[in-house]
Amino acid sequence: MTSSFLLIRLLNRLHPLLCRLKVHPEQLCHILTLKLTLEERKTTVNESMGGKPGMLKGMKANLLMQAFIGLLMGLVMLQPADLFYPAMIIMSMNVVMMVMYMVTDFSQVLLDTRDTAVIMTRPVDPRTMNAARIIHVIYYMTAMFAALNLAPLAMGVYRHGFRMIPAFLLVWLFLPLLVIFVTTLLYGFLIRQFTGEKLKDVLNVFQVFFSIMTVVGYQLAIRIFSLVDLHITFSLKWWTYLLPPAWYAGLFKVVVEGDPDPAYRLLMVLGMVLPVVLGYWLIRRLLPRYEYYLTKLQVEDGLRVPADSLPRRVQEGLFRWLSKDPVELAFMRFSAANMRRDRKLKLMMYPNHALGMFFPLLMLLPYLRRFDSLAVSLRELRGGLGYLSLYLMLLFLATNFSFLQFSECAPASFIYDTFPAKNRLVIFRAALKAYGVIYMLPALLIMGAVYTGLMGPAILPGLGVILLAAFALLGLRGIILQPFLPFSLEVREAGNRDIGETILFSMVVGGMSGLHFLLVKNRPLWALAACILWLVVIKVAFAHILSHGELTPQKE
Amino acid sequence: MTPVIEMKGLRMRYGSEGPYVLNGIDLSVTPGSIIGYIGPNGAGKSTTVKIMLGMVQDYEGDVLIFGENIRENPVAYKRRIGYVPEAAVLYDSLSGFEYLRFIGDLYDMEADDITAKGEQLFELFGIGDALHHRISSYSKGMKQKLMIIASLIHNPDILFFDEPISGLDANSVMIFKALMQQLARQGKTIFYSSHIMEVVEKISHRIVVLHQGQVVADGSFEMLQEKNHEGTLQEVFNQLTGFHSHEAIAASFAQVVTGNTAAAGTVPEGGMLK
Repeated sequence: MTSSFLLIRLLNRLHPLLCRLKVHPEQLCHILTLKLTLEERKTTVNESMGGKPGMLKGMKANLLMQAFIGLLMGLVMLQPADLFYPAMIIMSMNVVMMVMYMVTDFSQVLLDTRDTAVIMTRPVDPRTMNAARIIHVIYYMTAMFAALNLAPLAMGVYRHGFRMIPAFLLVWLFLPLLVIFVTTLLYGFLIRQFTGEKLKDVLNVFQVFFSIMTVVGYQLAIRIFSLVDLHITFSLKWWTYLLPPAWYAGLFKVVVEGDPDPAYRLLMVLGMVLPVVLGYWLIRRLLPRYEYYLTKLQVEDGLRVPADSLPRRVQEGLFRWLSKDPVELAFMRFSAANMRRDRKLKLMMYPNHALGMFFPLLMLLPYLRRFDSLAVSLRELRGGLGYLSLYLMLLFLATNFSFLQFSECAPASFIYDTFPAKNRLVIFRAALKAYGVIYMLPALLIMGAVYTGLMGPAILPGLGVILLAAFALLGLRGIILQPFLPFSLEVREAGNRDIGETILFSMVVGGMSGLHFLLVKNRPLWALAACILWLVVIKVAFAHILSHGELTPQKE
Repeated sequence: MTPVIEMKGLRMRYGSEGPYVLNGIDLSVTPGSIIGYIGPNGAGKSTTVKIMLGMVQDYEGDVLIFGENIRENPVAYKRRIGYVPEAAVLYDSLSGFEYLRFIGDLYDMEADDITAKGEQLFELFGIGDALHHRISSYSKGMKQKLMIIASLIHNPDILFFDEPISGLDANSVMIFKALMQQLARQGKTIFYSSHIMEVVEKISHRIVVLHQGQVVADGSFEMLQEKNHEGTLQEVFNQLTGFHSHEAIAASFAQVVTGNTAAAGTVPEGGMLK
């Protein structure tokens, strides 16, 4: 059988080996062909929203993107530092990228319950099904690793010589396996412990948590040069042995430089032995029960919505205060419930939200390095204007709002059509207000508290201005850009942010922070004036939303 | 005649502490018959079917299909069974043909054979034009037809149908009912599970009623009628599951709808759940 998929052609040559493993080779290829075809046909959000179709799709587009990121990553290799550092950084970024894909895209592969209904009811051995599942993931991961590390390899060879090639090949063999096995085991553990809706919630929390960890870790990793002094030689601490990227960085030291230090050898052995041990455990213990565990995802056991807690009552009070009429209040409650419980939406929103909160702090890093000791740097920050970096968070908060047009239950948005609303823009405005209360307000309060702690109470008037500026920005979001019906589009992939929107809002936010920097500074009277200005903007903008523009037509 | 399906002391619960959803089911099915498998929501119908299909493994007791214990031989028997699940679970971005092709491949069918059968069956069901369209563009009825075709394409000996006619138009339903009689005459066994009593009453050679994880009645429609002194299967079903208050509940319901909430007091204790 010939196939256009490289993987299938490769597997066709491995029939005897597969038979030895008690895997049905032909069925394996049929299942994988199906999976790869589905992969190829995935539509991107951009396309489904009428963007330019064609170009590169699915995996190919993804790999190209990876190669590009690799190019940036590779620059690390050129740094004149102990090889351990660049190797460690590149390995960390590899781990981050792979974990990201495992918990977002590939959770769908690992947790696909359609397989049980369609494939497992046919004469297919569970071993074959599981083999297909794992091979699919390994294939994707190794391809991704190759694309990502092409540039670092080239630059590594240029800087450190040809022994880079065997080092990368070894890592290629072991690192993707490690990531895959660890994530699969974690999923396995979770689906063993929980059932039904509770299980879905736990998995969602797990995915959100990992996505946040990885995006934040990624930002930290690319800035690590400004944090550590690369010219000192690396000294291993006990906890270094706990960091997977360090294992492979050790491998680089041994293979490329032939470093005789036994510590590096130990790291290298860890990196090579653990994937094998985990893999063995996975195949022996988890996979035979995997199908059964998956059926637990479909158990309908009912999950109670928790009764009113204090934050819920605060929210209700704010909603009542902010809503203009009962209809709007109803839609605000509706939006709030969706924002909190729509799992796919949360998986899109939370990492972006966390990134928005984290970025301003990242901007402070250069300040912290300006003086020799951290204590002096922190003292220098007090009473200054460093908190203006919070405007960056506002940019994220305002643009993240657009994610609310997606939902995992998008077809349910037919209720908007059956609802006797005179002006459907009320629905949009209610979503905007609910978003302000549920997402923006807590983020602003938390970051405000953090900054007050760092920089002292002198910045409080300035923080007040930023708080109101945030809501003014939200109001402007409502009248500048096209309104949409919330929760009415299918979630397809990790959402692409609209570049035009981001550029536009960068300018608006830039203007706002410029105003703050030039006129307001930390002067209370000026701050009061700015607050009044933003209050007027909020008032006018929110009143205008209802008479503004046309809703984006709903698409199937 | 040797039974094609045999269940012995089948018990099942999700998790090691939960309540039993199946509470000791013994059943033996001979070839060439249509079994109407009915019961209220949560009675354990889907669980039984899932066990027979090998989708659930953690059961107690034994299930023999074609005389083989499916715990020991979990794959081979699937070559000779077909299944239409309750929900239309499909890989939406494939075309109908690609889907059939994939299913056929899993049964090791010849490519030409799949193509010929797929084309003809699609044509017979009146959806020949849609064979090469993506499934995501199918209506609910078309998806259901595709599921039915996919369950039959490999000429199986046992068929498990779970609400197979949902979404089908009246004409297609007639075709399907007649088709089941033809298949039974060919010696195939059909396990038909549904909530539509009128259909079950008409098509079944034998009716099995499940209630709270146990078989509470088993026999031909005439036998059930006689035993329970009732006219229709609907009434037999009500009696077997101990449900008599539908009129009272409906009356209260209608009252509450019009705003007369005081009428809720007349709801029989426990509402539907007796």
